[in-house]
Amino acid sequence: MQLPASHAVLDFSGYAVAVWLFLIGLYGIVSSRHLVHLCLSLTVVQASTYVLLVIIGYRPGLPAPVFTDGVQPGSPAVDPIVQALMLTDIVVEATVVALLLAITVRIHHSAGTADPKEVDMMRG
Amino acid sequence: MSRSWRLALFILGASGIAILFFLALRTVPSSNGLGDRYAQQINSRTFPERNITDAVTAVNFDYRGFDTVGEEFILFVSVLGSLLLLRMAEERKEKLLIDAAEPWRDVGPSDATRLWILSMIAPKVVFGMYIITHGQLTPGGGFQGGIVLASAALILYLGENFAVFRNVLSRALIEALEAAGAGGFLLIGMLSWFWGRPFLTDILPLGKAHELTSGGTIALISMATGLEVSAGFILLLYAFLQENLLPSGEK
Amino acid sequence: MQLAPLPVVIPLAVAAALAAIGSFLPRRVLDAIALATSTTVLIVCIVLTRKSSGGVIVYWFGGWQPAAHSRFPVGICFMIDPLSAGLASFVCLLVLASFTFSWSYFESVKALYQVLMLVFLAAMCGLCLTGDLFNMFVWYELMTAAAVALCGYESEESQSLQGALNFAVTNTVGAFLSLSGLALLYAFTGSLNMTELGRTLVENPPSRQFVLVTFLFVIAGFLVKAAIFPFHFWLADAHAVAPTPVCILFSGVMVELGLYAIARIYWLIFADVPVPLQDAIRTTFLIAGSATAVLGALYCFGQRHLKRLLAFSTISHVGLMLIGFALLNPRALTGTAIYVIGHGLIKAGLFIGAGILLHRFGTVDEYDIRGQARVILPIGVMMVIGAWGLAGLPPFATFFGEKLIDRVSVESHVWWLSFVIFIAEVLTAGAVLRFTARSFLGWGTRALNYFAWRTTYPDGW
Repeated sequence: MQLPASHAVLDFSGYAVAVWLFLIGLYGIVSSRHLVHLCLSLTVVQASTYVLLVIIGYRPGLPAPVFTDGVQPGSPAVDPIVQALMLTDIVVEATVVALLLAITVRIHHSAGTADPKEVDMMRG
Repeated sequence: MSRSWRLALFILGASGIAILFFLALRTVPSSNGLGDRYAQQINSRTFPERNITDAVTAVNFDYRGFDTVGEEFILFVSVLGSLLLLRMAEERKEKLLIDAAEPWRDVGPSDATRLWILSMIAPKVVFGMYIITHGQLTPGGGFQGGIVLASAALILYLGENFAVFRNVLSRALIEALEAAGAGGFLLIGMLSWFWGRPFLTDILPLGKAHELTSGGTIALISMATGLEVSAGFILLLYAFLQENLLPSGEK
Repeated sequence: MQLAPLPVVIPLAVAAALAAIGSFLPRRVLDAIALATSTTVLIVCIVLTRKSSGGVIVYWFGGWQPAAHSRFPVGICFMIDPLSAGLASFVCLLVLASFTFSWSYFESVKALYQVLMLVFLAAMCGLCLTGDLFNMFVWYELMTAAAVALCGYESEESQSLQGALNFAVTNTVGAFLSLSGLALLYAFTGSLNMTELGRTLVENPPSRQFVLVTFLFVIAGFLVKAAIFPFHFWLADAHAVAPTPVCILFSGVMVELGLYAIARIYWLIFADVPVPLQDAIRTTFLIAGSATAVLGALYCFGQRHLKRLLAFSTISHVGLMLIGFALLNPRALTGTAIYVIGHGLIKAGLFIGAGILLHRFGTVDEYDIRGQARVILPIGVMMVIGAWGLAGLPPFATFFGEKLIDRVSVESHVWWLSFVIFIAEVLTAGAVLRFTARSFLGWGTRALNYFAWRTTYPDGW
């Protein structure tokens, strides 16, 4: 199926956003100077995958996969699978980041600093 | 590893990832309808088979319910891990919390803010419960509603101080509720196992469409999940807020 | 086949129950419950192994068997064959060993430890048995979360928890790379079930670059979990931070499961695709595996801290296992499976020795112990036996596993692999022997800057 050019541009820009988010999040992790910043960059990396999943699930012109208020059951709709995958993941990964932040707090207590470089050098 | 080396390695790896990704993408848009198969199956089957109008909830709690079990336990374990890491020695904790309840310690918000925030708590709780129970009809479900409920607890802290938060929400009860939510999901799955059907089959009556009772076990699972998610996030709030209450002399 | 969901459901249910009521139970009861649960799951897995030797057991959750006319899998399935159930049994065995060791190892244990370990067990069994790609990702995430939480449990040497953070961040980034690959694969094929994915790729082959790139993305997370070079740097720190019974599991099964996932994904999804990728995969992973094996062995030899030493030797041996997989041959895979079992058991023994040393002397640095361990000489004997096994000598399973891999590599005309295997085994076994000699017999120099390069290059780089 040949999509009109505008759709193709929209599609491509969606994927570009996903890749950009992933790379910028990764850059944040690698070059971070504060552990909290590092955990939040991880959130950005996670967000990139969610964006990718949503883009993949999108079908131009179709409604959401909720069959009430005029949308007949069985009529074509957007992909519910990727939305379901993403939904639980977002909530759950938030708690994983909370776990990482708890580790950060503990590191700060024992090392007195939250700078990854300095913590690295203090390690035995 | 020195900073410039790390950056160089990063740029190498990042460009590699980006290039590979776009290489693969060139094939995807021209797929011949294969990519739609799963979506079409689910969209056409959720109403006839389960009387559910929200396909996403049906996927989460029925078709791919076993994934959700795993995800719930990730939440469970992360909350437990955070509690584990942030626990303080018992004696120290009691002393600090008594300190925190002193009126002079916590400046707190202005009266206008307090009024507004406290009056918002009840609507939030109702809204959260609405989302949890209506997950099978409209977009929503246990995960989303659970977060809304947890945010109600958060604004309780914002409107008042930690002492009030602690008195209203008993920690032991919330821990028990969280375990109950996680265990509840498993229990519902085991119901069908004991009945001789595969784990997590929807064996309860499916009810009428567009009603709260449609979907059989899906509604129950949604509520168990909502319980677990809200209790989990409230526990996280507990752990992190408690951590903040060191008197400045101890830092 | 109603036993199929039990390896995952039983530990999770017991964990939830313990989380609710565990603080009211005395410690011995908690330990006993944990032991009983792991034994039960072990028995279930063994029974599943026996039953599946007659044919793969496919168990559909939620009763979502594919309809006869469309044959399209709408639900999640477990695909149980002797390899997966056997590996799950091995996981249960090591968890049982770990619980037994921690019976008297920890001074005071809250229910949280048993809860986390049982969830860890459930996640590993789920990873072994599942036949759905996203389900695999979910169990991977659960494994990582439980393992990170366990790292924070009474971190023994008042180390900073930087290792746990490193562990969590690298594994999560890897997991999201895998998820991106999964998204690409889903976009093309419209399914998440591994058999269905394989079938779709065979019937509608995409371009070679798509297959290769998707394969790389999907296994990226599992490569990180398996600590393959260049993603290996998190493992040593994680071992240093985690309590010893947990290290048994990290080295014995967690890392190997990453490799198992790669093999499973390859053989179920990508193996039959009519696209020339065998050679590319074989070459890449032979090189990666060899690099991991040799580098791991070199770092291992430079360590003075026993837990780090053993962690690097795990990295090295997993490199060998990757070589076994990369030969893409069923006999090599058998050899690798045997090697995994042998290595896991030996590592468990060595870590128990490390735990005893730590408990007794408060340190596992060979320079700090220096001969004092003479009083517990039997432990030293056990560690020498362990080194014997690491070197791949008979009668250990590592010998048979390694011989099979060797034979296949010779048949495939990859001569240099024998050399790589030899170096890895000699260096890792030698490191353990050197540690034992210095700690138990007091041999060796006193010089503190023994390996000057170790201070210039911090662990792992």
